[in-house]
Amino acid sequence: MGKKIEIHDFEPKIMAFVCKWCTYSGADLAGTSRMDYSPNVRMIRLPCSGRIDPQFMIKAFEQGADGVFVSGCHPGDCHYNEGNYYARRRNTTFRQLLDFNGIDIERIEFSWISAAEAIKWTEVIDAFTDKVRELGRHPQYNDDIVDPYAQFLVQKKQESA
Amino acid sequence: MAKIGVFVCQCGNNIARTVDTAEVAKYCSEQDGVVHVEDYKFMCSAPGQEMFKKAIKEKGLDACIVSACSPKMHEATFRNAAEAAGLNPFKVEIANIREQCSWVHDDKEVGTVKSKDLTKMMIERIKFNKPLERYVMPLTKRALIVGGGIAGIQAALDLAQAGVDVHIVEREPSLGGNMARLSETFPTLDCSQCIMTPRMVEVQNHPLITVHAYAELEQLSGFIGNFRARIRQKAKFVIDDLCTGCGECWEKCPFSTESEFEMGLVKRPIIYIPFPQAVPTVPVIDKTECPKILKDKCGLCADVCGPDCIDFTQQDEIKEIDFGAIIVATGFQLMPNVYREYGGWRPPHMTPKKLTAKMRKALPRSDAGRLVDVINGLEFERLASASGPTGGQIRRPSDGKIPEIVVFIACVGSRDCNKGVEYCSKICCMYTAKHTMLYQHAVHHGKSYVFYMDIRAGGKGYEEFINRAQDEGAQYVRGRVSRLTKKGDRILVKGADTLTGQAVDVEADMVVLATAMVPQGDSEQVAQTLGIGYDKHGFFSEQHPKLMPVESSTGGIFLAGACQSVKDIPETVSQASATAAKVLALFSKDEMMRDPEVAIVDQEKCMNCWDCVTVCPYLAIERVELKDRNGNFRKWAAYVNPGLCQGCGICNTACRSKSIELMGYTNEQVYAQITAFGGDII
Amino acid sequence: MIEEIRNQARQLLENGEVDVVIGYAEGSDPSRTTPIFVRKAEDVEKLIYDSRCINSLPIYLNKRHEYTRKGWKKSAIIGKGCDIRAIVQLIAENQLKRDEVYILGVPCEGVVSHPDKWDGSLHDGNRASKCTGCDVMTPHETDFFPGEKPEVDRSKPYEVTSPKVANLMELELDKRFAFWRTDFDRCFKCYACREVCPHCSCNVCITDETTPSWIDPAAHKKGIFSWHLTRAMHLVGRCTGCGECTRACPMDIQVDLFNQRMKEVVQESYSYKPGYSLEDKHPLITYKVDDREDFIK
Repeated sequence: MGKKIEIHDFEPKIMAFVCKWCTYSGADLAGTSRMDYSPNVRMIRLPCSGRIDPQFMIKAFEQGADGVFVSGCHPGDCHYNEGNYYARRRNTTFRQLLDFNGIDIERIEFSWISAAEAIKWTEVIDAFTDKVRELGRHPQYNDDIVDPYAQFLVQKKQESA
Repeated sequence: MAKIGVFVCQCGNNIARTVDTAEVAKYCSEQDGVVHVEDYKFMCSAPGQEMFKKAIKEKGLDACIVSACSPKMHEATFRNAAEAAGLNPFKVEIANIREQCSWVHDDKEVGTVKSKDLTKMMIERIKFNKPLERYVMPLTKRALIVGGGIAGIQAALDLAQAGVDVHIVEREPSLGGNMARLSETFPTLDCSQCIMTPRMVEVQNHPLITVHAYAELEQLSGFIGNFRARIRQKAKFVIDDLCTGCGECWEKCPFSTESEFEMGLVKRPIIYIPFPQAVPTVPVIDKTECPKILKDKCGLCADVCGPDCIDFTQQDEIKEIDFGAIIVATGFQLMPNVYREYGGWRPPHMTPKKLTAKMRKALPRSDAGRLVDVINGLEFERLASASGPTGGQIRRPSDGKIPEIVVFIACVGSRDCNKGVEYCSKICCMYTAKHTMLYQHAVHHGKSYVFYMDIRAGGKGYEEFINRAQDEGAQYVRGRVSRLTKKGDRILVKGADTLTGQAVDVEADMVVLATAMVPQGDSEQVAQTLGIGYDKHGFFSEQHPKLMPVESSTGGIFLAGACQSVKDIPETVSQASATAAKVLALFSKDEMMRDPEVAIVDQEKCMNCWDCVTVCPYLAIERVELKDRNGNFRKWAAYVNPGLCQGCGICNTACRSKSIELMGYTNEQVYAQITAFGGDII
Repeated sequence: MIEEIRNQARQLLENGEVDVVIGYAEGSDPSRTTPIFVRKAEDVEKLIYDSRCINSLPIYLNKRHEYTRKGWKKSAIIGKGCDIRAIVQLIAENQLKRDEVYILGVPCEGVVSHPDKWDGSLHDGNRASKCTGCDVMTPHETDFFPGEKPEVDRSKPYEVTSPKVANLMELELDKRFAFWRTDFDRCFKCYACREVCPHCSCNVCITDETTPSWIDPAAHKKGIFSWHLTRAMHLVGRCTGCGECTRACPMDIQVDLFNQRMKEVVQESYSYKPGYSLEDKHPLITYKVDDREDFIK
């Protein structure tokens, strides 16, 4: 406790999709133990890592996420017995697909974090935030390919303001 | 337009210290659809909840966000409060700004920005929350108990006394299990048969208990409250209703084989009851041995039977019965084939049906050099039992001599990563002490030695019991035995005393091994039939090691006794009673309420690739035919049984056409949450 | 060879064993062939088969095309090996029953990559990339095959991968992205790649969904990226590599490179080849406890 947050020029946006039994509880435990970690992460609580659809990750990138974090229970610990095994296969292939598309897979982190691993949670999140900060703003999804409608909305907002 | 209320909690100073809750509340009030905002010190307190309810009623809110601690803490609290105020509980969501924001970030500016974002994401999400109603499922108030040992008997009696219809399935011809084999029990040395038999009779006479002896559970389908069991009643070749249990048949039977109940120490007839006090007292014919059945010779039993109840044409019978809950009490066996280390003699029936890798390792390399007078604990129990083969006189199996020197070896197979199992079998210290006492009481001039690793006597009156055993003459030697060899008609025990650092050799007349307790050989098969989890040893897994120790991983199936882990009798009985209490709690209502956060199929969109059927861990997805209004087949579609669905959402992800939605975590909800993301990060 | 197929087709139609024979006929110009639905026995003479027959016919067996064969109980189909893999995969995914289809297998020597490249013969210059190293030139699952069917060892991993995939993989990450960006620049979301795919069998495609619309329906870059990633993801472990998506693309975007790359990944990671077994489940709905997880922290 007591680590003063250092604000850099660039702060990455990180979206996390986590299982509610292990990782979410692990993150809760980090809170209960008053640990300290990067505030860049926004978590979406799902019942199981098996519920994490590649669609979520694509959408998160479209929404301007610089990194996506996916996490669930360790193999063998899944509350639903096998959800994380399916998640593992889905992510193995999805990462390769993104890689083939030229999107840096360093921006997707997959980790097994149990409900007791609050320390691992903080370490992994801190390391991932640092890594994505280093990589910088996600150029492909944020600059190279733009959504004209979103731009139009931004413009309109500016005009009205 | 939605009418959303946002309630920001300060949690005393827990949240307010690093989050400007007023600022968060103000920000939320500017969001689309938010009509009411509160910023309060303790939302979970009684006045806080009152405020919450009042706002719902007065402002007519149709959804509420509570920005507070983790949903694990107070989601239920606020959902109940909403229900009391007339709002569907599933229209309440928690934004976790304590555990995942205020407690982990020190900077107030950062905490405030993050809290705003977290709450905003929830506001967007809740617009797509559907009001869900809990499912009402029918409930069959009948319980099935698998295994008729002391655990099964106790659970059956507890349930029946509370008025529940109970069925017990026992694969042996009689109830009783391993406890019926014991001579006397620690730490009081009361006779096992004396406390067991009355209960067995009570079970048999109870109008609400049905005993399926010599039967096995073959298949189980359905789910909590609505199981259907297929029970195979093995052919007894004796008509239950006619048999009086007079005993003419088994006394006249001219053939015999090794008695399973007596651990193979003596022979039993082919038509037999396992032991004189057996319940039910109906004999069965062992069809693998009976010459009448095998070769159509003999048939003496049918000739002598007065009531004419022997029927050699009887076939196995399949019964299908509905149950609401299941108690698994299949018990334990002593680790088979531990004799390699020590030589020794192994009754053939003790070869387990399914060998684990550990057990295979421990198999003897050859039968040569086996020592007949090396026996295991249960065999000793039979020797010491008044109803046993020797009538309670302790005589060694080889020549029937009364042994003058007996060596007891503790931890055979237990706490042994290489040749046995790594866990402590827990009861061996106590029963070895008991064995020394039984021996000393029977053979006053005898000498008993106990080789042990540690004495573990945690239990009421247990340590005192060990002390008493030592006072009564048992010589305790701390150390392990390296080998047993034959020396004349005796056994040379080569051991060590690690306290004095000296080798100890004892020439014993008999050696008793305190063999490790392991699950039944077919426990993994049983677990697969029941659909419950098991660990690497084959013990059934409880749902939570501390807080849910009697529930299995499958709803409605409970675990009692040594099938879950090693246990002594008092523990087994208390666990059995606990399962009975759980079943009674389940049966206390006429219908069952199920969580509505389950998957639902859009059957028109479903293109029946059955990927969902493949991935579902609970077999909750069925293939159904859709019909048009004339009753003609139209198409196939998936259907999720809400009674079986546990709400994992794996099917939801596997479905390419997005025909399955997991209620509470629908695509729209997650989509809204993702698209709400994208504000300032710090 | 084609005579034997025609005879068999005639017999099937005359016996009433099948309602239709789906095959190829001469097209509008000598370099092209066209799919044909033969319903009368006298029309079987129109059936042809040679290296110009590039269309993947199993698409007509997909449930999505049920309306075209409404009321027809059983269809016979002329299949080259790669098409039969698609049929097998359809059966494995419960989109088709084995007894609803009669497979007339043809020995295949490869097909041209595009009708425009046809110059009267098939050679290395115009052979489709999917034909290199193909192990189903003698088809594996047939009801009828002209002549003797030789045994072929199909246990080996694939070799059929376009060299373009390897070339792309050698590029730097941002170069690869730039390649796709320029390619996808041309995409205007006509969904020809979806319509021609024998395995796209959803009643409502995810891109047509509105609750929610995961894939932005507009033809701007984000929507296009999202569409192609999703399409490739949905075909992981299911694509049998007919290459029709690329051929059907009016803007010449090589969308099948995604599928070919994913085919390699599935082969490396799970040693799975789709379209060879009527029962096997595709790798995303199965698992092994010791699957690779080298990327997981």
